[in-house]
Amino acid sequence: MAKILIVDDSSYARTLVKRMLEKEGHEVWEASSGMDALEQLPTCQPDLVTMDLLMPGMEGLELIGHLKSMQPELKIIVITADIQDETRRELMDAGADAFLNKPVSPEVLVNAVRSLFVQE
Amino acid sequence: MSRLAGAEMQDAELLSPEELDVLREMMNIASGRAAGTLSGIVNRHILMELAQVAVLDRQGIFDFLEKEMGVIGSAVEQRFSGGLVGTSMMMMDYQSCAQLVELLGGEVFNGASQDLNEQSILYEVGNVILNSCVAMLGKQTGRRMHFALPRMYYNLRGRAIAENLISPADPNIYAIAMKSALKVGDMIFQIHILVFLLLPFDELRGIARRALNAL
Repeated sequence: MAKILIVDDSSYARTLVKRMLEKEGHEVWEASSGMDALEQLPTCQPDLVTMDLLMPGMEGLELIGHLKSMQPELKIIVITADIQDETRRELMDAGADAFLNKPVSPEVLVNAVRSLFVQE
Repeated sequence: MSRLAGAEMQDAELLSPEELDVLREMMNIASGRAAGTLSGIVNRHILMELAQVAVLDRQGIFDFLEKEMGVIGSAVEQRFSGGLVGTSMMMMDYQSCAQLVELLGGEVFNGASQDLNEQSILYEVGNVILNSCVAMLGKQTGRRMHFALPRMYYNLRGRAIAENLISPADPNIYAIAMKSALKVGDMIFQIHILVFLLLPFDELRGIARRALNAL
């Protein structure tokens, strides 16, 4: 099972994702902003970050850059309301491992997480 | 994030932070659908900003529309009823309106004069974008809506819209208002999407409570 840090400014969105991942037996941490995530990273040392894209303070693209520079092997799943293909390409180019659209279903999220760790 | 006009102090008085958070999340997802739809129409990447969401009482609705919609070139309004009741608007200034028409291959108009071709482009684009946005709200709340035919407005005044929107016989009406700006990166082009869910307060709170109870 993986250690997963959920980053989203919405506590409702975090809780939704948290419940889905905990059912699968993952250990889940939460951060309410990009800055909060970066502060928790050294302590939490997650295998995977799930993150929103549009957040106050620090947006997703910038956060991916910081996360990857601090922990290059970190897996990242972006879960966003932005459904555009170009956004997906931009984020995958920046280092995201998967791109999911909100509202995300348990099946889609769980499969995305599994596929990342099966690859190894 | 700036506050919506008319929203001062009202959110905290009306809903708990958890309830407001649910509604904000739902509205942001709906805004994402609008951006994706617009991107498909103009074949350009759309820059999204975090949607501003507020809960407004009757006076707040008037203040919001009067302040937010003081100088608007064109707007398409589409009302909806059924599982959710309210109205949605796509608003543009003249420059953005001209850019949109040009992007879609129409002839650019000068100032406030618009020919039928331009009007039909705006009407169709507004219809598709507003439908995708509001339908996503319906999907998230498990409700089905019926859409009225869109209406076009020019030189819109917010107060007139508010008076048209709210029945004087229903003083206990509340709105969730969302303002979302969508921009095309390399052009001076901006569309504002406004969505108002006009509901009795218990129903407004009920949407958020049901989502929270399902967690």
